[in-house]
Amino acid sequence: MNLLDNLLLGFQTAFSLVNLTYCFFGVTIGTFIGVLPGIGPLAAVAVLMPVTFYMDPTAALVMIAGIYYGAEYGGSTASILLNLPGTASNAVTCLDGYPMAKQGRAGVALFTTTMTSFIGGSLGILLLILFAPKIADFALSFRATEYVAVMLLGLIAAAVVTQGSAFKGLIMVAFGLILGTVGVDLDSGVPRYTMGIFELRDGISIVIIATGLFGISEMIFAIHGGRAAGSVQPVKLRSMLPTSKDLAASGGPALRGAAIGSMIGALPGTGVTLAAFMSYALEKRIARDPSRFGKGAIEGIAGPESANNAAAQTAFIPTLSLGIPGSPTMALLLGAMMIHGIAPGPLLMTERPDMFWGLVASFWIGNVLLLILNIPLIGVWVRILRIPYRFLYLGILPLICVGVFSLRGSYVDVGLVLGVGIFGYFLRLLHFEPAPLLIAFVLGPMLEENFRRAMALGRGDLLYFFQDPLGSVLLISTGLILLLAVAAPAFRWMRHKKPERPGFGSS
Amino acid sequence: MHRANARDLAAGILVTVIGLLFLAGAMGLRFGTTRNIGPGFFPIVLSIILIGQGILLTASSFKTPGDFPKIAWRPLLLVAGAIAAFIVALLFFGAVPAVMATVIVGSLAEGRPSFSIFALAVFLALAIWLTFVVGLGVPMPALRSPFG
Repeated sequence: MNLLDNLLLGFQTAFSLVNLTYCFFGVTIGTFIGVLPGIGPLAAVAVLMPVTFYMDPTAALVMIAGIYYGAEYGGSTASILLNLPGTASNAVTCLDGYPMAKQGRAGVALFTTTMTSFIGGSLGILLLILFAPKIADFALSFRATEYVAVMLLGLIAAAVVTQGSAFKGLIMVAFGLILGTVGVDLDSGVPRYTMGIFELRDGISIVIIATGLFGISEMIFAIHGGRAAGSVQPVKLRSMLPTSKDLAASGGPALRGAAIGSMIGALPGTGVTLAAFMSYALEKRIARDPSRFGKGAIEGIAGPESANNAAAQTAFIPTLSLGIPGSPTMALLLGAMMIHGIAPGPLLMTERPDMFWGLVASFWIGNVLLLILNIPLIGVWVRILRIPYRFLYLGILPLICVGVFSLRGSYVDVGLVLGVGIFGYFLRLLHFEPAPLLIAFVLGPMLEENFRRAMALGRGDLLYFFQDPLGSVLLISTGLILLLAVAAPAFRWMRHKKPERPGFGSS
Repeated sequence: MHRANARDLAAGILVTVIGLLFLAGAMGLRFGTTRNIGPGFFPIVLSIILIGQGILLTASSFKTPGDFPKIAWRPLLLVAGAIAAFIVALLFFGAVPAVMATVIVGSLAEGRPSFSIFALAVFLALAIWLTFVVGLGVPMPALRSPFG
């Protein structure tokens, strides 16, 4: 089948009433949680995952994906109006978005972020369509050693680009991998770390890990932070019209942002937040007058917002073509696929073309819906910003409990969420970023399986991993990244500069 | 010699202890050889990595001083309490009281329960019951007698 046939199949799938409805639900929920600070797309997907198990798998993925990229649209609203990032990846939008609002240009800022989001998102989808099938084709010939190499690269990348210390990110990877071994070992039938608890024989459910680490622990932190319901000025549609100078100034950054974002998003394991920050740094560096940045420069919101949406879309490239999550939320998407009995990997495109192309087509539909949701209906979202955080977390809390209970009617599972949530709180308190843990938890069992297979094929010789060129290149680059990540802070410390990268969040 | 960074010191000790616990838990598992990897291989290798990382983090915490972060006890205990209340109430009284108990206990994490919180609890209980029990068919009684 050629590309056109595939796209046709995709749009046929995506335009079915069920998928269209769930696409709409997804992007609306995504915008909603994106707009509201204190809950990120990861937590939202985690909370809704139990519900998706009752849905048709394609519809479930369409909805999860919609929440994910929808949040990137909505997230800039709070950044601009309240100086509070709606999601972590919109933090950089505060820098120039909030000053713009203070200058009475909130409407223009909101219009610009939505338009550049659309530009970034569209380019991301285009690249996804062009490259994902090629990569999947190529990956069909992967052997176990190459899989191990790709997964290791993804894990190390996830640890290194995390906010906060890269070393702590590596600890989270190790921890996530070991949590992934809990349950009966499929190879030998031996139970591992089940402590005699029957419910642990199948391993810890990804829903429990995700809702505990991202829902519960984020909630405890956000309550602690105490967000007052802001007094937000209403935004009039007419005030959103940009001047021709605004348009001219934001075109270049949007395209450059889309390019940077697409590249970063396509790397396995990296999130969208890095893409936004890189784009901001670039725009500031190449600006004729960098001193304008931080005081309401439109380039400072156009670039990053395009970049994070492009990254959100290209994150699907490794996720759907290799089965390696392109971001923490993608790890959840893979988890949802596995629970539906669909094995992620390069075979997805040939075995379930309707699902892959339907999902891709739904992205176009979703992005157009988001454009409508975010420009004419902006007033609704601005009003939503006045919802106190209290009502938000009190709504999520019972949803998590019921959702986890509904997995298999187990009280132990709800107790596990409680435990994981408290533990996650202390991890965050100690500046451990839980995103790499989640990625490692999902990849762990696949990594172990492929490692065992590779070792059996290589007759126990570790050098077998360096027999094929691709695997070798990947392993060597992984090693170099690891070395750089560990050596750079040590070097900085020797120069008596304390590395300071505060903040946490999820994307 | 100055004071340690209390946050990293605690983090380092925590990671080391977790590594040791996982190592202890993996002791009964067959390690195997590289040619025929046993179920204990991954857990043991990873526990040792965790222990090593924990020791490194502990050691590096002595480079710069820093305070231990403040624990938000009230939200922590009350969010935990809300989930515990859910389990107990679901076990004895059913889903509707369980959701309401979660919301009301959870609301104590920030301020006091007000009329609007109570209204929210009732609304959520009904909405969740409709979605999960009626809509999705999750086997969860709406109301149950503790003596039944």
